[in-house]
Amino acid sequence: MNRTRYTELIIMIMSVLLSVATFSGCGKDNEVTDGAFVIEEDTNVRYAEKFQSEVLSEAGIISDEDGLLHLITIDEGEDMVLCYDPNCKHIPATRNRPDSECMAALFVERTQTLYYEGAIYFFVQDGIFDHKIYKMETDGAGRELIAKLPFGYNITQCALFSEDKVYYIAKIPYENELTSTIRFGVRIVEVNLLDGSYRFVCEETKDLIMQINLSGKTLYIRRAGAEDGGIYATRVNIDTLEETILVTAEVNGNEYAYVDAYDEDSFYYYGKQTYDIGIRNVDGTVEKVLIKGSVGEDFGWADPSCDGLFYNRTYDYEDEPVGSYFMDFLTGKVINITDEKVKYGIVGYDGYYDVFVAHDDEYNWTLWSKAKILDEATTAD
Amino acid sequence: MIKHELYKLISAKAIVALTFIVLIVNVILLWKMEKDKTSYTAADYMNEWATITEEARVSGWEVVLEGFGEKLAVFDETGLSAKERFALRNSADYYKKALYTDIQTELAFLTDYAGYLEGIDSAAKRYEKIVLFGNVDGYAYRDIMKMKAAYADVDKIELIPAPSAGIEMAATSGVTDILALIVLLCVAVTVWLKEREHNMLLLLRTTCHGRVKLAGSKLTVMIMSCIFLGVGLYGGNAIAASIMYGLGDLGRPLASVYDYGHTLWEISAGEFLILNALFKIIAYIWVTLLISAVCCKIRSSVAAFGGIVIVGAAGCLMYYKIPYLSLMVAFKYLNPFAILKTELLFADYNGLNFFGYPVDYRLCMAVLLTVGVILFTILTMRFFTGYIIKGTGKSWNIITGVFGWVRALVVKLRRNIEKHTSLFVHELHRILVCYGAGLVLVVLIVFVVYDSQPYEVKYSDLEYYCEHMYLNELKGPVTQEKRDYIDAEEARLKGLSDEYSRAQRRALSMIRQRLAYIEKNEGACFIYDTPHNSLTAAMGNRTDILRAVICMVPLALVMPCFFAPDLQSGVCKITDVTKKGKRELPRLRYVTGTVLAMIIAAVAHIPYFVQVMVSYDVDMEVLSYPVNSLTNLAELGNGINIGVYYALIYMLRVVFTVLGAFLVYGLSRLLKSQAYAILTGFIVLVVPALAVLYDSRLEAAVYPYSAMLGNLFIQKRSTAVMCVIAVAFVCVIMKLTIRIRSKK
Repeated sequence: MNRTRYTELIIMIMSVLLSVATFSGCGKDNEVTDGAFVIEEDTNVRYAEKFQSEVLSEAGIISDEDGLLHLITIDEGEDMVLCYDPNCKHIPATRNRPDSECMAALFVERTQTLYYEGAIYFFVQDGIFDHKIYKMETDGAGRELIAKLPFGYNITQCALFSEDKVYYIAKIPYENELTSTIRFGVRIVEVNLLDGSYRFVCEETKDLIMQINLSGKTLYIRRAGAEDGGIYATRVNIDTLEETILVTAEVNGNEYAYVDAYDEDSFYYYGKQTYDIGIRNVDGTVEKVLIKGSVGEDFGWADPSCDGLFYNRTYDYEDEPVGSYFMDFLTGKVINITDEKVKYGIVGYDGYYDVFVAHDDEYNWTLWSKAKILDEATTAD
Repeated sequence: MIKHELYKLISAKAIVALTFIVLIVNVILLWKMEKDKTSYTAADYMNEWATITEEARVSGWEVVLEGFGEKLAVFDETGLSAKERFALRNSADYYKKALYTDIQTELAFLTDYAGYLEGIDSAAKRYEKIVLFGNVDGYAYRDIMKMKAAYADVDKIELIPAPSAGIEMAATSGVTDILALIVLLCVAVTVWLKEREHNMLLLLRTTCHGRVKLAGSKLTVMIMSCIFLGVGLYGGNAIAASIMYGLGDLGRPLASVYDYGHTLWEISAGEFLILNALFKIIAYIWVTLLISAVCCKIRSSVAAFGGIVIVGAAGCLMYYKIPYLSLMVAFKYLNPFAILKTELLFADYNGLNFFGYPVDYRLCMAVLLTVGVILFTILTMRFFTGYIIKGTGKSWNIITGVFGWVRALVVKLRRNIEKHTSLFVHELHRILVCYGAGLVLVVLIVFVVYDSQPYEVKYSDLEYYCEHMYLNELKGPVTQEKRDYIDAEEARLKGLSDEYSRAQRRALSMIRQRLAYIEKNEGACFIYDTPHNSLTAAMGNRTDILRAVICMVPLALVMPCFFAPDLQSGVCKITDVTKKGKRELPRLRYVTGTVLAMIIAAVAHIPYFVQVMVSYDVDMEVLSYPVNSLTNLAELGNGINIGVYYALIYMLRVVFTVLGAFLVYGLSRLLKSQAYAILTGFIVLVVPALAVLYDSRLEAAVYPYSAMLGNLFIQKRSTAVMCVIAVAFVCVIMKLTIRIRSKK
């Protein structure tokens, strides 16, 4: 055998070994040694993390201020107008002059923004019963009308992108001709970003929708539970639009609460009696306990995202946290970041961009990289 | 030949008079628009600059700039009560706030010019932070790299601050270009259409130099006209600016003129004025050649003018309707209207987006101007030399060639229909079919019907929806029950905090204000006035002016078809001696024209009324409420109701449209040329309205036509008086001129 043949043989053997190693890792066995576990979260889904009027991106927080979009960079916190043109005077649009030349200018009508894969989406109120969606690539090439929709919207807490679709709350107006009054029904709408078509993916509710999550074909909806007879969470198959109740006051609402989607058939929960944080199947059986609770300690909230879980422990339902922690799913380690939370005002975690979201007392928002926060926390320990 | 063509143009008294008038009107309008632009005067501006220049000699420009902070602090409204704010805003010196702000802005830029250029260098770094986005292969990154390269050669010089307003005024005036276009249109008509209308071209083309040489000399004359106009108009602007502000040191860099601070041209202000005029002239030539090509290609004067109107309107729509941030922004800057905005070439770097690749606007313009000039010249020459008697030539148009058999079929059918001796039907056929008035009417109807589809009513806020609902509930005269209802609603909503209840509360507060108004105005009723606001010009006369333009464009195109062709060809000399031709034919033409004008007025105005009424689902009962129920018509009292008011304004519009038609008749009889009559009709009827749409500061231009707008005539007495005087004046002048001509 000559030298080339040796090389080929070695490459072939390595390829076979690599394939075996790769396929042996498949399957739904979440138990990984040393407490680490495999993340099943749908990587096609991108939650449009929105904190008040701020929205996250890989470069920092995009916020709107005085009619212009601003970018606040990660860690440095540098605040700049989201317009690259040095010749631009950054004059926002006004009623008298609605056609601004600045690419950072918001529309004159009430506008909210979302960010997804290099594009900013403007949700522009068009009268009180309609809205439009415009798309602007962040490369500054211009704005394009994506869709005109005959209902209002709410994207402050509940909006997510999945491939070429966006899901959010539609506020559908109903006029009562007898009393000349109007009421709004709430549904989740799916808008196709390519052709502007839309469909509703859940039944109308009077309840407040708190959160939506998508994994594969399953859309999880967390509700306030006040209006619809104590329904706290449902799941919808977005193909068949079949809606199933997941957590309800009558059955299991006192036992656990829905936190976030894990995969199509299971979700993150926290135990209302045990104070555990873990994963349950949709039939209610516990699949895995991630964090064991202790009596007397409830937790304020948990924010799982991609490869980690950020959660707060409080004592006897008091607001002041006993401690704030971050669990790294890949290593299974739990790190105490209580001091960092207080120091930086951390309120959330985003695993897509590996950043902690924070704000000060005056609601000036900043992003801190995961590496920085965890380094500081580890060094302090 | 050029000399003769030139002589022909100069000997046309109307053209010479119009050019002279345009040169004067241009300066007057420029002066007026400049005067109305700011709350301070040119003298205030120049005095302030003189003061700060003196200060700068002693303490330097940085100190002067800082001084503006103190000067402006006097006008700071922070912490002031509403009364104090009102007093401050109405104080005699309040205009100084705008003056100081403007000068401070100019000064801040001029003293930091080097910083601005450095900012362009660092823009790429800044972009990498913004772009996330990580996409360095996108339009923006390419654009910024191009911009950086473009500004790399610009010298980082220190600018000496000086007033910019003079140079800006001399170089930037939209109205100048519109006036130039009017004259150029007249010149084009004289050069291209006059001989054709008199059938002289048939003779000329058989002569030795009757084709290419003749076309060449006509084009040369057109170009000479453009040069004369460019020099005359922009020379006039420069003189006006130098009197009003002074042009300052013409040797200073162009960058020291605030509006051109971002320029890439390293030229002096004086060179800029010359180059700007030069580019304007090239743009005029481009537009003139385009008009020439249209005039030579289209045989009918009506169709030629129609084509020019459509091309011009399309250009305007593109320029004003395409947003700056649109993906189609290249069309905003590259169209037959935007090409006149050559001052943008000097403003800054602008990379137009072509499929993700930025192309320098200056390059685009250079290509567009060059290609346009060459292409339109070739087309004009070709169309002119290929002019052949109608019906015998080889058709250049593929569509007409393909559908030739359809035309043959139509001719066959027409021959069968035309076998009659009815004067009325022949006249109608001549106007509607032969001169294309029918086509104009069809286009008008299609446009208006398309534009007048009922729309969905939009409320910018929930409270306005609630106000609409309450006013529907309360409509009609105020009664005790309605007062009780308002009280009961207010009591019901107290304490409710949901979104809808809050909106209802705000709406009720507006209803309270309305109630107070009604109690002050006897006879007034509750009415939802938003639809009526649109119809009664409560928010300004723009919609009325637009409707008037829609009405007057077809009027100017169609009305000259009645008398001008016969007078032009001399056929009237034959018809005048016939039995029906002496009296019955003119009478018939007046009657037909009147009916046609009434149809045009109805088509232009009534669909809009119906559109608003249907869209808002207005109950016809409200038309019986006194007119002072609408707050903007409070002055008219309760003597007439809303329905009568509407009837009155629509009657005015119809009557004055008919008078407008008679004016065009008169012009036709005076000018004895269809093309000139159309052109003059446009200048007299349409241009003033277009000027006001272009710049609302010129509103006075439509006062003599206020009756065609309707609301303006009734709501502003001075305009009514002006309108009546204008009509009387025109009638007398026309009568006298026609009498003098007929005696001759």
